Order: sequence, then C-alpha cells, then structure tokens
Amino acid sequence: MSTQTLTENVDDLFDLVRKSEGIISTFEARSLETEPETVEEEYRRYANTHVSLGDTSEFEQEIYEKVTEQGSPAKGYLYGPYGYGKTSTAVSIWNTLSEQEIIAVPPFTMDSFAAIMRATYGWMRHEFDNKAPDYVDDLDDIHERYLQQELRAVAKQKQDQHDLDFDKLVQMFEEMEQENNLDLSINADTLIDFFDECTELAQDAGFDALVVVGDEFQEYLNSADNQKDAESRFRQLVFGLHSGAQIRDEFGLFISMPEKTKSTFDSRAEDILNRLQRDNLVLNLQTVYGREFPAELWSRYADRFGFTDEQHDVISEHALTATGEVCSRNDLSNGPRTVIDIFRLALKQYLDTQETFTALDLAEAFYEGDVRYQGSSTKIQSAIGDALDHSAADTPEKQTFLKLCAVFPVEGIPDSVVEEYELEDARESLSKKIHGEVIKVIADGYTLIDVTKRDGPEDVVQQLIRDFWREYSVGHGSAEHAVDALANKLLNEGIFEAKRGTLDGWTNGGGSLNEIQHTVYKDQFDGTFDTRFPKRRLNVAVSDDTSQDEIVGEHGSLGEYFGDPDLAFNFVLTWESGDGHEHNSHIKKESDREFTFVLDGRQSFDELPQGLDFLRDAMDPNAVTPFLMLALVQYLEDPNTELDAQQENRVESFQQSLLDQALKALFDETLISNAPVSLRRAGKRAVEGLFTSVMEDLYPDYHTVITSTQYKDMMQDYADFLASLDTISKRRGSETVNEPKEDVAERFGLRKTSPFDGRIRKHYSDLLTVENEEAEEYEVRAELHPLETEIIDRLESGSEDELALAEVEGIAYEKGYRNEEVDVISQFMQARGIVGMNETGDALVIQEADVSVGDVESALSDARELVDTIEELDPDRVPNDVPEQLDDLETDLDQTNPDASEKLEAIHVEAKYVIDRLEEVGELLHSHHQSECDDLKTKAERKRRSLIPDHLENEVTGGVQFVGGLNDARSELIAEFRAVKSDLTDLIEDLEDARREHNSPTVAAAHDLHQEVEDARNILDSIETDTNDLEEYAEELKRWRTFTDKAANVKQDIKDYSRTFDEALDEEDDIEDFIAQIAERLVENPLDALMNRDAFEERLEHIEESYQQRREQRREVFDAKRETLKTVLDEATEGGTVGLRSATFDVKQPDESRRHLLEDFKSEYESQVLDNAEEKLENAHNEIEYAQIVGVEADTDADPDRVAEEIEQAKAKLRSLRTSLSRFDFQDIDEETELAEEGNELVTEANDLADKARKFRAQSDPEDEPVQDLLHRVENNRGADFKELLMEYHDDGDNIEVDELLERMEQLFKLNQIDIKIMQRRGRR
Amino acid sequence: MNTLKQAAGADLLTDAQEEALASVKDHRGDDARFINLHGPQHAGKTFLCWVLQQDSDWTYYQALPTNADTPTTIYDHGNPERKATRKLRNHASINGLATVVYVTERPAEELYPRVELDPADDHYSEIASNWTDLGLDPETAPSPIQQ
Repeated sequence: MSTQTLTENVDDLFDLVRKSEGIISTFEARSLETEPETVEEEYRRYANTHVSLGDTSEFEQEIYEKVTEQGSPAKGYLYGPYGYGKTSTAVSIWNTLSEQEIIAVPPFTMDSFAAIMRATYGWMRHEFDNKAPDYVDDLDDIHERYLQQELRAVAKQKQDQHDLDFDKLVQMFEEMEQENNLDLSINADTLIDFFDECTELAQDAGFDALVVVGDEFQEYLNSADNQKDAESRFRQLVFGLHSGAQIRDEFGLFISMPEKTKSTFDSRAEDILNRLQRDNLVLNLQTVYGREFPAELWSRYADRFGFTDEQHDVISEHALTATGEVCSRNDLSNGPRTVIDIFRLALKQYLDTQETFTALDLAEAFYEGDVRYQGSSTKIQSAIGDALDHSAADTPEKQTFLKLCAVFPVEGIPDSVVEEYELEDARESLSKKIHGEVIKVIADGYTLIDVTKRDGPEDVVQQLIRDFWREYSVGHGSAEHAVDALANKLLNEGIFEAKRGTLDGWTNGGGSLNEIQHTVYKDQFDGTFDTRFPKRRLNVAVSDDTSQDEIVGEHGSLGEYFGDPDLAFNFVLTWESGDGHEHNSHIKKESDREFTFVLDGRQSFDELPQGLDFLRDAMDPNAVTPFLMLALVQYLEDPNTELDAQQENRVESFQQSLLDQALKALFDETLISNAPVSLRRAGKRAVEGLFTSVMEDLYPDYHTVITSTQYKDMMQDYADFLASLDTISKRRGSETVNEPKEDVAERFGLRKTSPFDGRIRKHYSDLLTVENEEAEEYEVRAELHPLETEIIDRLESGSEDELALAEVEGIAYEKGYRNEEVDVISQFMQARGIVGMNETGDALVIQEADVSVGDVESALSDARELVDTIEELDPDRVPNDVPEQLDDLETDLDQTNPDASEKLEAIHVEAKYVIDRLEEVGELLHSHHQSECDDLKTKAERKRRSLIPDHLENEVTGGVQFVGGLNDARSELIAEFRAVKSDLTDLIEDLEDARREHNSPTVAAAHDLHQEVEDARNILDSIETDTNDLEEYAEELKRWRTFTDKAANVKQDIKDYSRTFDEALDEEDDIEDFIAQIAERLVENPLDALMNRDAFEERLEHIEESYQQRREQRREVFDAKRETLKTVLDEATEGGTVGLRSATFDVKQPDESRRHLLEDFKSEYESQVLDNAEEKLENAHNEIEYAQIVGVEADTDADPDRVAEEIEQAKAKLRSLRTSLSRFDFQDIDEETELAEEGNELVTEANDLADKARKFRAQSDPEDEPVQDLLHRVENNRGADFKELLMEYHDDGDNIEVDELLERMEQLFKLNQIDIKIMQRRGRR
Repeated sequence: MNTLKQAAGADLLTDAQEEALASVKDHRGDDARFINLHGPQHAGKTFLCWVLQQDSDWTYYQALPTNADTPTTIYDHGNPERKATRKLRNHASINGLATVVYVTERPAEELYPRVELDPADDHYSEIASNWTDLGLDPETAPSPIQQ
C-alpha cells in the first residue's frame, strides 16, 4: 500500500506516462551486438515499469509451452495498426521468456537475414558472457564460420565480376561488415543451419531453448532490393522452420509486423502466413483492445500507483467511456497510444488544477488539438468545428452538447451525461433543427454525423452509382454491360485468372475474351484448376439467355486429338423474365466434354449483401440483382467523370466488392444442387469442382508427369537416375537400389539429401518407392510409370512385336496424357533399357537383355588377362580380392541357367566392375610407365644436348706442322659423335612414338609402353658405352691443344735464343725433328697418335730442359755484373743504399736488361752519393756566408774563410765524379773505378764541412750581465715589442737608452740567441 | 555565416525566437527528454540553437552524430519521420542523453513537447536589420519561404 498522497501517486504516474508516452523504440540488430547492456536495461526498465498495455500473459505462456514442449520449432507473429503497442508486446514476450531458462533474443529491427544472424549472435554472446562464459568461444567459432562463409561468397562473386584480389576483398568486406555497411544476402538454409547450431550450443550451455523475437518486419521488405526475392527467401525460411527437418525443436521465431504488412502477405503470400500460424501463436493486437480497454488500463494503473479508490477523481467514468469509444475507432485515434495520451492530459490537468478530467474536457482536448494522436486525420476536431459553426449552435449549452456528441462516436451520448450537464433542452432543440444534417441517433444517443463510421464508398463513387441508377434498366443495353463484366471481369480475370510460376490458373494469352457479337463471347484457355490434370485446354463461351444458341454445342472437335480442347464450359446469364421458373440456376451436361452454367441474374436480395448496404442510399435496394451488379461493374469501368488516382482505387475496390457478391450469388447453392455431378462447394469452387469431376471421369488412369512448371528438369533427373543404374533389373524395379541416401540423392544430381524427400513426394510419387528410409540403409525401387506398364504389357503380351508410335500416342491421348508427357515417358522407357525404337524409328519394340554366357565368359577372360598383365608389370598392384572374386563369378556362371538373362547380366555387370577396378589399376600403371618413358626421353635428350664437346668445333691452331694431323683426328671424332647423336635422335623419336601410340590409360597400353621403354633403355645404355671412348679421345684432343701451344713456344724460344745470342744450338735441330715425327705419326694413325701424347710430352720436356740450361748460364753472368755495381754503391755510401733490386735479366732482351741495370746504378749513385753531397755542401756554404756577413760570435775556433775554401774544393771533386759517372758503361763494370772510393771520400767530406758550418749558427751565452738580463727577459721564446721592452726597463727603474738596448740586442743577435723582426707601425697611413 | 555565428546572442533574437527560446527552456525545466523545435526553412531555428548553445550548457550538432558525450544536445536538421525519431530514442539511450532538442522543418512524429518557430513577417525585417548592423548583406538575409 502506498503511503504517498494521491497527488504524489498521480505525479509518479504522470512522470512515467509523460516520459515514455507508451513508446518503446526497437533497437537495431547492431545494438544487440555492440550495446547489449543498454538494450537490456532499456527493455527491462520498460517491461518492469509499464503496466502491459494489453493483457497478453496467456499468449506469452502459450509461447513458452510451445517452444519447450512442442515437437517442432515454434513460430508465430503478432500484428496490429500503428499505436497498438507491437514493440511493447514484443518486449513483454521477451521479458517473460528470458525470465525462464531460455535465451530470448529481444526485439530488434528485422530488416535482413544478416540482421537476424547478427542479433542472434550478439545477444547469445551477451547471455553467455553473463551466464555461460565457457561457451563464448564456441559461439564465436560458429558465428565466424558462417560469417566467413558469406563474406567469402560475396568476395568470390565480386572477384569474378571485377577481377580483384580475393584476400583483399575478404578483408574489405570484413571491415564493411563490422561497420554495418555490407548487405550479406544470406539464404534461408544458411540461416536455419545457423539457428540450429546456436540452439544446440544454447542447450549444451544449459538453456532450454533459443527464441528470436524480430520486430519491424516491414523493414525486411522495405529494405530489400527485390521484394519478390526477399519474399521468396522468407518463404524458404518459414517453410524450413515449419518442416523442422534441418533444425532442432527447441527453437522459436516470433515476428511483429504492422497490420498493413500482414494484409500484403494475406493477398500475396498467404502460404507464408499459413505456415507461420500453424502453431496457433498469432496475436492480433486490435482484438486485445476493446472499448473497455481505457477503463481497465486506468484501473490497473490506479492499482499499481495506489489510488484505486480515488481513480475517478482524476478521470471521470464518462471520460473513460468516451475514450473507449474514440479509441476503438482507427479513423479517430491511434488506439492505445491515444489512450495513453489522453491519460497524460488528464494527469496533467489533475496535477495543475486538482480537477477531474471529464468527457467535456476530452472533447475540448480534441477540439483544441491537445490530443497528440488523433489517427490519420483530425476528424473529431473538424467535426466539432463544423458543428459549432452551424447557426443552430447558438448557446453554450448547445455547444457543449455538440462537443460531447463528438466523443461518443460509437454508442452516442448517454442520457446520464446529458443529465449530468443538464443539456436536455439543448438536445431537444438541436434535434429539431439539425437532426440528419449534423447529428444523428445511434444506439444510446446522439452523435455527430461527421464522426460516425461510413461503410461504403463516398463522394464521387456515390455520385457515379446514382448516375448509373438513373440510366439503368433491365434490358439489352444493360445485358451487354452485364455479360461483358461476366465474361471479362468475373470469368477472365476472376475464375480463370492467370497465375505465374504455378501450374494452376488459366490463360487465354492475355486480353479480353473474343466478342463474337453483342452478348456473345468465346475464347480458349490453357491451364487447370487441378494440378493432377495440368495443361488442359478449355473452351469458354459466355452469353445471355437470349443468345445461348450461339454458344451451346458450338465448340467443334473436343478431345479427339492432341491440340483439341479437352472441355467446353458455357456460361449463360439469364435476365429476361417470363418463364416463371423461380430457381433456374443449373448446370447442364451437353456432352461428356461440354457443360453449360445457366446463371440466374435476376435474383434479388432479402438483405443487401455485405459491404453493399450503402447502395440503399443511391438506388432501390429491391432492384439490386447480380445482373445489376455486373452491369454496374462494367458501367464503372469507363466512368464519365475524370477520377484521380485515389478515386480510381476506390472505384476498383468497389468493383471488386460487386464482383465478389455477384460471384457468390450466381454460383450459389442452387446452382450446385442442380448439377449433373456432385459438387460440394459453391462460388468459384463450383467451376473448379466440375472441372475436376469431369477430368476424373474422362481420364481415370491418368497420372501426370507434369508435376510443376519445372517438371522437365525433374523428369530429366529421374531419367539420369535410371541411366546411372547398372542393371536392367534395377532400372525396371524388379531389384531395389540399396545404398546410402546421399548416394541415391546424388544420382538425381542432388548434393544434399534434405530436399530429396520433398522431391519424391511431389514429383516421383508414381516413379519411386522408398523401401527403407534409414539414411545408411536407404533402399528405393524405380517404379514403372503406369503408362509405361501399359505399353510394356501390350508389347509383351500382344501378338505383335512392335507398337507403332502413332498407336502409342493414341493410347496416351485417350488416357489424358499431353504430347510432351509421351516424350518424357518414352525417355524413361528407353533409359530403363526395356523398350527401344525399331529400325525404321516409327515403332517401339521390346529390347531383349542381350547378355549371353559367351559375353560373361569373355568378360571374365578379359579380367583374368588383365590380372596377368598387371602381375607381370607389378604384382603388388593386383587388388587382393580380385582373383578370389573372379573365381566366385566363374563358379556362379557355371551354376547359372543360360536362359536366366537377368542373372547373366548381373554376373556380367560384376565382371565389368572387376574389369573397371583393374583398369583403374591400369590407369595408375600407365601413368607410371608414361613417367618412365618421359624420364628416359629426358635422359636421352640431355645426353644428346651435351654429347659433342664444344671444343671439337674449334680448329686446332699453332706454329707446328702437326696441327694438320690433329685437325684430321678432330674431324674424325666429330663424325663419330654425329653418328651417335643421330642414334639418340632416333631413340627419342621412338619414345615419343611409343607414348603417342600407347596413350590410352589401360593395362594393355601400360604393358606395351613398358616394353618399348625397356628396349629404349637398352639402346641408350649401349650408346653411353660407345660415347665413353669417344669422350676420352675428345678429352685427349683437348690436352693436345695445350701441348701444341707448348711445343710451338719451346720451338720459338730456342729459335729466339739462337738469334739473340747468335749461337747455333743443338736443341734447334732436336725440336724440328721432334715435331716432324709427331706429324708423321698423326698422319699414319690419328686417333692412336692422340693417345700417345704423354710420350711426346716427355720428349719435349727433355729438349726444353736442355735449352733452359743455356739460358740459365746467360742469367748468371748478368747477375754477377749487378752484384759488382751493388758493391760500388755500398762502398760509396758505406752500405747506405738498397738499390738495384729491380734490375732483372730477360733472356729474350739481353741488351735491354743490361741498359736497365746500368740506368738503375747511375740513378742510385747520383741520388745517394752526388746529390746528397751537393746538398750538404750547399747548406754549409750558406752558413759560412752568413757568418761572414754578420760576424757571428760563434763558439768555434774555425775560420769561416778556411771552411769556405774547403767547401769549394769538395765541390770540385763532386763535379769530377759526376763526369766519371756519366762516362761509366756496362763494359766498365768489372774494371777498376774511382766511383767507389772517391765517392766515399766526397760523402765523408761533405758531412764534415756541414758539421763545421753548422757551428757558426750555434748559440753562445752572453758574458755581460745586462745582455744576460735582456736574454732573460725574452726567454722561453717570449716575443717582445721593442717599445714595451724599453718601457719594461724603465718601469724597473733602469732608464736605459734606446741605443743601449739596441746594442744589447745586437750582441744577442750575433750570439745566435735571438731573431729580430721589424715592421711598419699600424696607423701610419 | 561565421560572423553571424560569432555574433549570436540573445540581443539579436527576434520576438518569435525569444518566445521559442523561452519555451525550450521551460520544457527543459520540466525535465522533458525530447523537445522538438520545428519551423519552416529560414525561420531562424539554427540561429536560435546557437544562442541556446552560448546561453547554457548545450552542445550543438549539425545532424545526428554517431556518438554524443554531453547529456544535453541539440540536433539540427533532423528527419521528422517516425523511423528517425525512434532511432533518436535509441541513440539517446545508448549515449545516455538527458535532454535533446531535435530541430525539424515540420513537426517530428512521436516527439513531444513541440516548440514551433513560425514567425510573422516582422521577424524577417528584424533579422534584415540585424544583418545590416553586423555588416552582412541584408539582401541575402533569410526571408519567408514563398508557398
């Protein structure tokens, strides 16, 4: 019990109502994956805080029971108009289910199959995260697998279309999918499989079931690129769920849709809704909300918020009644949404003013536009406005009365309300003035006419009907209209309407029926009412009773041959009165194939038919007959008034109502009770019923193979199935086919077994019997079609051997078969191998099973032979069981009666199987030997390619006479190599021929190939042996090239020596003889001589050695000269040189070698002795000259002049030596020379003089103290500015004069103690 | 436009805009979760939003963003259809929005309370005068949409 005050309670309720307005938005599927917590919080809060708009608890309980207990997946839907709380109810269902052990996917915008998959995955993941985390990975795996499957399918499609990289496409689509930018066209089977795996996982995780609650189903159709495809996919989903074959029982799917979407499905896809509602889980929200709903809801709110006793202090009972009336009307309100809105207004008023919200407040709220949800128009507001505008509304009471009338649109204003407001006088007054114009009485009292519901069409349509009535009369003019409408509207577009994609339905090729004359129509239709009798041809003729002679019996040949109409239906509309026959509706049998429907157009109605009551306002209701209705339909077909699209729609809708009622009246119980056959149903079904009855009567033995529009494919699959069977007995059905179901399905071209059962049921009910349904032990029997049986029976039992095709067609046609069916059945018979064509191709004959004992023996013998051959090739490859199997078959054959053709055929087939298996082995063997052949060929080709050594192509050259003999030997070798190459080419060609010749993958070919390869291998081995010798010769020849060069070089060296040193050598003769001898041997026997190279090489070495000795002697002489010169240099420099290293002896250029040696010596002597001494003397000379100029006070006793003289003397010696050196020649080397000794003296003197001269530059210490002091002041290389130095003295108190300081400096300069620099003072310029 | 945005202030509001602004503030005071500001093109809704944004703690968006991180938001140029306003409700839930001013040209379906900005002609002359004061070309100032 609430302890709050009424105001506080009302405030709480107001807050709830005001904020949500009873609106809960459906989240997108994506939000279930990315924001599941928010989704749960929002939905849960809504479910827990709102009193359910309508009481749906029973429905929710029913869903729970079906999902958990029913033996198939549960499915259902709810629907309602806008404002009726579809999402609220869906949330409530979800809330109830999720409180059980069920994973309930909450409402989401169900705009695609991808969205369903995403929402299911997203929500399950959320649930698992919270309740079963161990299963999250498994769920992710499932989702990833399905997602990848779809992504890869899309990527494959795009890759093929645009030639793009597959992996990149997959990656791109993954990203797009994450961002919700990819439309995955998931098919129904995939989605069902996904549901199934998810359900299984949910059960594994401990949940009882998985239920998906999809909302906003209209978005699925709206967002589809192709509505038909979307519809078709949804159909497959619903049918798949309904069959339950692919999905476990513990799954449920509930969807919510607007009423409009439901209506669309009603008209376009009734089959889908039929399946969806098989579990009786359908909720029409409109039925949940009656007129009592506002009062009930208010009461529940009051109870919940604790103001039950004071509930009518807030809203009066009359206001609730009025709200109920208004909100029960779609055209005035949005149902429950408007109720909530009115509650909001009432609560606000109470909170603001503490005043009760009354019926008058309600009227005022509508009038002022305060009610937010007033349906599709503001009818109440306008009606009140118009009423108040009337001059009669001239007092406040009358105005109040009119306002109140507006909010009681269903029952009228109750007396109690009139009394409450004291409006009796106003009512009375207005009743007199505006009754029928503005107000009218319904049920309890007055209401405004403008808010009353109108059943029929309005305005323009009403006017057209009035126009028609003015022109209408029962006569020929109207009869023309009526018969036209009967022929073209009721029959052509109605009863015989065309249907696409199905066998049932009829077509006359499109367009109107042929009008033969006024009121007479004839046409031919193809189609059927009953798919057991498809593709029938029907003559339809229509007339009125005055022209019926034009059609009855006027149909020419019926059912005599292919192409003739099977039937003729006449429809005669009676309108002329006069025969007094009260019930003249009947069906007359004109012949077995012609029937006349006599339709009574004159009958009137006790009560106007449903939906046509408003005709009273425009015409005499007693004059309304089917004849009038049909005439009116035709009149409205081409109205005089121009209509807009909306009006045209209304006219069409009205025409349809008229046709529906005319059909009902014309094809009524009277008609079917006066028929030549028993018809159970009236209306269109009467025509259908007659058709079926006549067909059954005419064609009792007919069993169609036209089982669908795509029947040819189905029947071709069956023929393929027959052709795939190995024995006639199986094809004929005397033996069953026993193998796993998926293998049988595969024989029909099916990769899965799931659609197979449906196929058998629908297409092969006459052709296939399932003997065992267990998938692994599946057993079917191919049945003969009844027409096949008939034909075979005739052939087998008849006296004639053959059945002419014309006769076959005659039999078929008589039994009701279409020409195309005869083709199909003929195909079956031939596929079974029972019946074939005769030689002239114009008759069927029985095909004898032509397997003889000889055939079987031959097959077994073939098999034995194959075994032997394989054994020969590779014993391990003979299948283990084959020899035994052949033994068994031979035994079987011995025990079989030669006339038992089927048994013989069975043994023959078995033998063939064995042969097939052996040939499979043969295929492998053949492949093996092909590889062997290829390998050998490659080996031979490689041998051929590298056979002739490249060097043989090059001529042997050299300055020796035996090169001619060598080239002869080379030519001989090349010729022999070429012969071998030719042999190899032949061998390769032989192998190629063998491969071509034995290219069939058989045991025999493998055997032959094996033989050829072995022969070729032997030949190749022999060639290889031969070529080994040739290669040795070639290799030797290669060595001869080196030897030739060597011999030529030795010969040339000897000759050069002899010429250079002008010395006749024995070796010169030796080598000439030697070369001549080789040449001779090569001429005698080139190849033998080649192989004697080692001996020749030895002799050449002897000759060369001898010559080498001479050469060595020459070198030794040269080396001795070099040593002498080296000694001279050593002596002159006292070992201070390393020169003459580079001077070597070249026996071919002895003079050049000598010149080089002499140049090296002179160069070294000049640099180490002469130039060295000269440099030192020059330096000494400079020092002495300086000392003489300056008068250096050096610490030496030496006299500079004397030293200068000694220097000059040394220089003279230097010049003398330079002259001697320039004159020194090679012949002087071993002679006495002064270069050694005098050179040595010169160097010694130069060194001494240099030492002496250097002393003149040595520092001497000053003796005078003041000079010492000055030196001290500039010690350590300290530079001093003269001016600063002078001032330094003065600062120290020594007022030395400039001259004095200069003098001291001079002394230091001469003692070599200081250097003096002078420069121009800065700033002088 | 930037000049106008920078200059946006209560002193430049027309009477009609002032009235609408006061109404929006009242509704917020009443704790309304959604406020639908609607009015014809050129009525000055966006300008009003700028003033509202400067005047208090609102965040202004040109359109409905993917995410929002302030509890009080203005979404300009909204789609008035029910599908869009339902989406807006979820958007508000997911982003934890307390109050949303949703600006549309015609009343947004299912979105209440509504504040209409449908000014009289003097509103446009007042705007033109404001534009002149700001140095903007009054010729290009908003004018009523001709029906």
